[in-house]
Amino acid sequence: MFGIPILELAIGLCFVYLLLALICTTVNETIAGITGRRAATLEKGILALVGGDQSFKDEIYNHPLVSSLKDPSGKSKPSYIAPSKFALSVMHVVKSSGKQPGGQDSLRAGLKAAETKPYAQALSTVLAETALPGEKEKSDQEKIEAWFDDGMDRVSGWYKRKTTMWIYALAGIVVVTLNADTIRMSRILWSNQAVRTVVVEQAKTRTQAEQSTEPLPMVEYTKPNEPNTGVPVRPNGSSALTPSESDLLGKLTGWSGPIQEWRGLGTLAPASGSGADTSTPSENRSLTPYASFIFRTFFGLFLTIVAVSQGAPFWFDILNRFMNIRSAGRAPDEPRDKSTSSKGVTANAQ
Amino acid sequence: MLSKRARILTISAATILFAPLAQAQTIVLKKAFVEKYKNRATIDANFTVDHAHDHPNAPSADGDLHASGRATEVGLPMVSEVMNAAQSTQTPVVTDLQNLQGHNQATPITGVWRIWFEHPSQAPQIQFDPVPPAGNTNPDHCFEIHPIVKFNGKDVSGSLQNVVGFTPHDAATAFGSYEKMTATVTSTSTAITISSKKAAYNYVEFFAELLGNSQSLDDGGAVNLSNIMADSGGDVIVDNVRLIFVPGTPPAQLLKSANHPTELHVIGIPRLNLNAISAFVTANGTNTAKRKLPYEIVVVAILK
Repeated sequence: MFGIPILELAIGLCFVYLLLALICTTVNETIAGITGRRAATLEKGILALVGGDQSFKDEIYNHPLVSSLKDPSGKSKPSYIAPSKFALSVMHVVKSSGKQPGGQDSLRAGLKAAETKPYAQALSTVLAETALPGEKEKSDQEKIEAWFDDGMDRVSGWYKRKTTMWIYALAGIVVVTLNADTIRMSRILWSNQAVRTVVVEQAKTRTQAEQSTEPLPMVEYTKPNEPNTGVPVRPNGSSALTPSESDLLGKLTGWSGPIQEWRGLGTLAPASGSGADTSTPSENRSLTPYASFIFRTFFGLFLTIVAVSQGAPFWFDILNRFMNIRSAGRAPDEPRDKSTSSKGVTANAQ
Repeated sequence: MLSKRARILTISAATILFAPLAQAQTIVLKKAFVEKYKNRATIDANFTVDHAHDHPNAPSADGDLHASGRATEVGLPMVSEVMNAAQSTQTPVVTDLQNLQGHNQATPITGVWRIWFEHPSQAPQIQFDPVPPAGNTNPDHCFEIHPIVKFNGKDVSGSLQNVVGFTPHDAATAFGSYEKMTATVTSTSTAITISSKKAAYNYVEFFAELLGNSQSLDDGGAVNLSNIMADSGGDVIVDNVRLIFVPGTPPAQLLKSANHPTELHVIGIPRLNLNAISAFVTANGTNTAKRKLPYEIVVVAILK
């Protein structure tokens, strides 16, 4: 049917971009966990919040309320601090510096004692805030919590920018490592209907799973005689991609095909790859086969890197739209969605 | 310029990271605690009674006696409860709980550990943070020793039996509710944070089709996988639920003495399934995930 192969090609590319973006997200999260990027960003944000006063920031981090959030080894600092804990720690540290522990006045006294320091000036301003007519007056703790929340909004922005840069870098590494060349993948998808069909089916499975409103269980108990052995269900950390999705990526990406093609360039006619020849006659005349190959590969990789950098939600959204179009234009003999049958039994996979 | 969608992804991640923890129904457990108790029915602790009810609840309410307090082994706000507390066999323990309240005296206790989001607090409850004395018999808590099987050396394991005059919740309603509950879980190298909404349906009556053989728990209890039904031989409401049998109690004795029973008429109480939590976070690493709340059922009575 006219139009369907084009649509399936688009679905295939979107799906591959989605899978690659998922890989990047997973790797990024892993690296963030290992390097303590979240904790470092939070620390930097708190330092900025207290006017760059390193010793005051250290006092907050060493306060038992905050230090208890650290890893017992003391190596990893907290990734997040509850506003209440931050506020209480700040108040206690400031009061202690005023040498008058206890009472609201001691907080002001502590700030007065350190009035030349930026953090004291900032906190004094925060505490001086008065309620608008009709509003309830906030307590000191609530004011400091609100100040912390505002600061954390900025921290979220920093983290977002850092994550963006990481995603770009990871997209480059993943795409080049896998040789996820958009032009080559397009040729394979266009010329091989079997692969195209598999890709569309996988895309359908993925979109249906993601659209399910019911959360997954944590584990499944599959063996009656092993009630102490729960099998984790799709944990995020270990399998962003299902095995069949990984197989599929293997069919569309990889370096072995292009290497063979490169070796054959000297003996074969230009652009005699596995798929259709997409190079134009003028291209063949102006570029040597090797240059054409290099240009095509680099351009294909570049397209994929840019695409993958858009992130998984973007490609999931686009993929859904294409799937909806395809579903609306279903061939008369094509069966309706087979996955809508419901089981009478609720599986208590926990 | 980065696309809006990519920003949404990163903002979502950042929100998870930096959003305040100050949400209700959040509990932070030490991994070592989870590993120790994931395959145990009970906990041994030293319980300091802060407050105890003057009288057990009426049988129509549930027949329990509540006592609030603290235990260093638990490190969370908690209560302990005696089942069938009005029965004379439980009187020595009930009297001890009442007499020891406010004396700041840690007293040995053994009972079923139970984490359930039935009385959540507004602030997160972080295990082994300082726990102040409770202000009443029912402080905000997610941890219970319920039912108590031994207190101050006095055994009340026989209290795990039907509470005459009490009507447990029906299976369809209770399990329907449990199945809808979700939990957001994240972990570090030492702690697991679990957030969920308020839970209900404390006692539930159902029929259990036992699957496979019982397996021993680390404290001498037993665990079975079972299918849950509202009626004998009826439709399965939920399958593969862990049933926990408390060592030394009438249900556990009946399970042992019966010759491979295939179906039991049970009254049970739900609790968080730490076995599932442990398996999941081990595989999930430090990622945050929202999943169905994993639960298991402690068998507190087997009906004839």
